[in-house]
Amino acid sequence: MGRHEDRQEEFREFAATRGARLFRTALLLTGGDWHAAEDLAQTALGKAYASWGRVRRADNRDAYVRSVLVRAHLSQRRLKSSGERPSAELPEGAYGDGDPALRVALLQALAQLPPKDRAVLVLRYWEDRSVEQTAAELGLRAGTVRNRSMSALARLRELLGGDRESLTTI
Amino acid sequence: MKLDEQDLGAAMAEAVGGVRPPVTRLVEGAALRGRRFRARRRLAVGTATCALAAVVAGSSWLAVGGAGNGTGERAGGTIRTMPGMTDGGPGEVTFPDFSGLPREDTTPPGKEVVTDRALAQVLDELLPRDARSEAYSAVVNGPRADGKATGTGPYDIIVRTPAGPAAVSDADVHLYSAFHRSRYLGELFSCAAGEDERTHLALRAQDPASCGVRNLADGSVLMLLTFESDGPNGEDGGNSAWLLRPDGVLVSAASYGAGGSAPAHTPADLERLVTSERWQVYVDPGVNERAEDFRPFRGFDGAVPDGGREDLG
Repeated sequence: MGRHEDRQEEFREFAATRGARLFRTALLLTGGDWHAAEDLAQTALGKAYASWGRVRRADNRDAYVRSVLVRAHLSQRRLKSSGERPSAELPEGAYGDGDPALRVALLQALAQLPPKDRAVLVLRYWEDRSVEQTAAELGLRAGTVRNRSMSALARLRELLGGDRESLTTI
Repeated sequence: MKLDEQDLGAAMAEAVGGVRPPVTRLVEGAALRGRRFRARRRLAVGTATCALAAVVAGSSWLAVGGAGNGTGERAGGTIRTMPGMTDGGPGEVTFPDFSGLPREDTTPPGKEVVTDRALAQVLDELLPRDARSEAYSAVVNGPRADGKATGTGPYDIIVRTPAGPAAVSDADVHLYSAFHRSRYLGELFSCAAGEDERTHLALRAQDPASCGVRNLADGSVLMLLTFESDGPNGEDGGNSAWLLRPDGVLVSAASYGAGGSAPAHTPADLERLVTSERWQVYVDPGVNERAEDFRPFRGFDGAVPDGGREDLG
């Protein structure tokens, strides 16, 4: 097998093992828009494919590709001014386990936050990144991440209203 | 009861943890997009640095030998230096004196920014008669107001014939109006491959089979590249030519053969194409007027410019 084929195979293995997690992150970033999430995850992995020689040497490939994903998300949101809402048509059975009411409530609430606030919350609480790591990935100052995180969380509480109880009893 | 950080993390996990992503489609779609991103990057011009570059060390994994030794090493074989040319890089070619050019990229009096149709018409007229395309598309990227170029650049222009079975020919031409301001001008006109921002964009994506750089009589710097196909499912083979003119404009042209087929245009064809004096960013108004009825022109499909700058990593 030549170098080109080796690298193709290496990329495919990476994408197959990390794709699911990346897609879930994309789903949160897009506020539950399945098709936008798929598009976003494909874009991030596609960019990784195009620069695989560089990505494969990264200390943390996952962090590298996640950064691409988040930046692509913010970039796309800048280009598209259309409002975002959870997709009404979801692939049947795609959501598998979990509480559907909670899922809908949380994703709808996330969708109403500004894209950067959503990115802060997703990186901090889904990806479990520290304030400093989140700041580095988003190109923000740590203080800005702290402030955005607090205000976004407060806004999320408002948006969830009566649905909040179901979240806090998980 | 308040929603705290722990609650949110757990709620997010509950909301999407059970999701069954379309992994196979993600992998296949990503590979397809990745190949397009690479093709796009070959065409892109500029010295924008991907913000992610700092995440990893951008060391060169490929190097060519010194000027005049005829060959250099590449991972998959040898980079041949084209006959009568050098490997380029600092000291191997002389760059035009750009000091007299305006510091601001503004439209000269009596001229206007060329339109996409006018560029498409130029490409049609410059291609050999038997290689003309069924359709053309072009886009003028730059400051705009009310849909028109404002007159203050820089402008970044792409004109192309569509790829695919319907195309008689497949060629892309790219103009950048202020390339001489690039930080790494000397390094960019070098056959030395690598992956950082000081490497020629075409060389970051794919190892060339042959490469050459030389000065032309008017002081322009010309770089020619050839890439070999990796077969129907691998990288496309192709040729490209890059010309930096004394007026600071860069004209590049590329032709790639899809699915393992040979590119429609040889390096010599592309050299003739990029050295045409008809490639101008600022033109007499009559040039744009004459192109208003140019057909076939179907507008740009958006595949190249949309987000292209971000892909320059």
